[in-house]
Amino acid sequence: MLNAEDLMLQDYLADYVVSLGDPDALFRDGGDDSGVVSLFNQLSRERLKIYRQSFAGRVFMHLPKLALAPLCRALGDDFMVELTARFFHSISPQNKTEKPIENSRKPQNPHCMVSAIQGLPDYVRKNSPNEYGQLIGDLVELALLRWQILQGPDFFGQLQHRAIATTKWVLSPGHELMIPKGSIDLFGAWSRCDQSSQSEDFEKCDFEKYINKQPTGILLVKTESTTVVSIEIKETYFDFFRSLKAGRDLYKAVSEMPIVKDSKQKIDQIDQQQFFLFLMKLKQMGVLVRDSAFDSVFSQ
Amino acid sequence: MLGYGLRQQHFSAWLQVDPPPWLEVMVDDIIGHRGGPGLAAVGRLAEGVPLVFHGIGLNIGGYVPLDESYLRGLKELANRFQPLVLSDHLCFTRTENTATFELLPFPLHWRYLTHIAERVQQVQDYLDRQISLENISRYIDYPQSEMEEGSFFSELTQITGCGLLLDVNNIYVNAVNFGQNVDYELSLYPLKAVTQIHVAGHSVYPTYLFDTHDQPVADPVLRILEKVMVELRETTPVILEWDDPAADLATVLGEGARICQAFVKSSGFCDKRYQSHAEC
Repeated sequence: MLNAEDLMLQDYLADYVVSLGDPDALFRDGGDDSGVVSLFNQLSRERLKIYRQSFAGRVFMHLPKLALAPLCRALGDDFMVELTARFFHSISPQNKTEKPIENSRKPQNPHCMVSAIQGLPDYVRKNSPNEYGQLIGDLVELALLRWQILQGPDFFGQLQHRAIATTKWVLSPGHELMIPKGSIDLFGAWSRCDQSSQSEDFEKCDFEKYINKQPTGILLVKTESTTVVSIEIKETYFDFFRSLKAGRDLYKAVSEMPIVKDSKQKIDQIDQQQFFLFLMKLKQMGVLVRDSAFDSVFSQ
Repeated sequence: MLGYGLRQQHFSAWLQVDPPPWLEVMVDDIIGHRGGPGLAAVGRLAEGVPLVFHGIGLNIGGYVPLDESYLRGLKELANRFQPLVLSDHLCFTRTENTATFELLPFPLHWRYLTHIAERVQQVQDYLDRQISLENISRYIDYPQSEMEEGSFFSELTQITGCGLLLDVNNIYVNAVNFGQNVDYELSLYPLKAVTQIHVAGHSVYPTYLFDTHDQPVADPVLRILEKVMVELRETTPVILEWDDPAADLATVLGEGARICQAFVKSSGFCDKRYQSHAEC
């Protein structure tokens, strides 16, 4: 079994690697009569610095690069590396000047960095309480939202979807709820109606807060739970959804969407944030599914 | 035969070239994912290429309890893709309060051997399969160490039945950094327990070598590989690690072909086991 000295040595080395400023300050104050500081001080400082120097780079290497890729392009790799490294320093308890944002967000291992980095937007806003800092924080949040969409459950092509025999479903293009009069048929090809469904099975999805007051597009969707929902789509994103309907890959469509970086476009950016939340909800519902066979039948 | 480490920037490119003998997936790239391009790419590649899985988040040498969610993620991936080898590193990466994302060494003494053997058993029992551990590149040496790393591995593999992922570049880097004799150090490792080989390049600094994975494999490292290969089965995966994010797949494959050519030339063999899927 490891003893207290072994544990302290691990703590000292880990803290030395990630601490900001002069790492040896951690070991100068005395007060440790176990002799572990003395043992630690026998280690080569020159060699210890190798680990410190690679820390920022390694932190960034293990992060989901795609998550921050749009911002790396817009703001520069160096900027994002420094920002990210400072954030991870800040959630180290050894950094006495920064209170950890949330203990639960400490990145306990690399795969947890995805969730840990969710604290980055708040960190940026908190440490740069000016308009620029707020904007960067918003952009980081936007990038992470996009990442969540891209990494979330992908129903496209999964067995769960393909296993549904098409004979179980009956297309009902004439159904009164299918395409409300006056709306634009963006997603008719995706709509599914169970022949046995009754009108009370239809449920309007509550996306009002994400949508303009005057919706101009309606999506009717049959979810896995046999519930049909109608979702209103903003005109701003018609082209996006049309491209999906035309067969464009969702991953490419989302990943190639620009993230606005001009403060004058603040309104659009907020709109984009709402849109990403909207997409996430659609993915969670299993809505973003395409079925080419279904399309062809419907188009007849 | 030579396989390659799969890197995120090459996901698409690998789908468009002849399949290599093996691909090594960094499990931390996809662990916990429920979808997305990484998982999709691995799924497609797995249809035509035998996979080995390599992780950096197990923290087998740490004192904090093993991360249950991480183990659960490993098990899900292992069950789904059935990799030939599932490996991590003989190191610690985090403590109770600090995550370093570094592969940190610990003193090589008997207390650690007992501690790690228990944790390896715990992991193998949970996953219901063998795991392998890799010898890391080390830049500090503890005065408290009681044995060489090769001897530590020899004991550990005997006690637990775990495998050894032998990184021949790390053997060389450590030997140079600590003024050790390469042949002697190599002789201490239990080659019979080797389940996989890593080969990679390093950067040369005035007072030390650094395991960067972004340089051509050095000749002395190829000599170590040659010695090791004569002891191993033909089916033991040899993986080239190349972590320069700017390198395209053609560059990586070119280095693989160069290694094979150098290997054949120096060994005098022209055996298929020394051939890469790239032209040798």
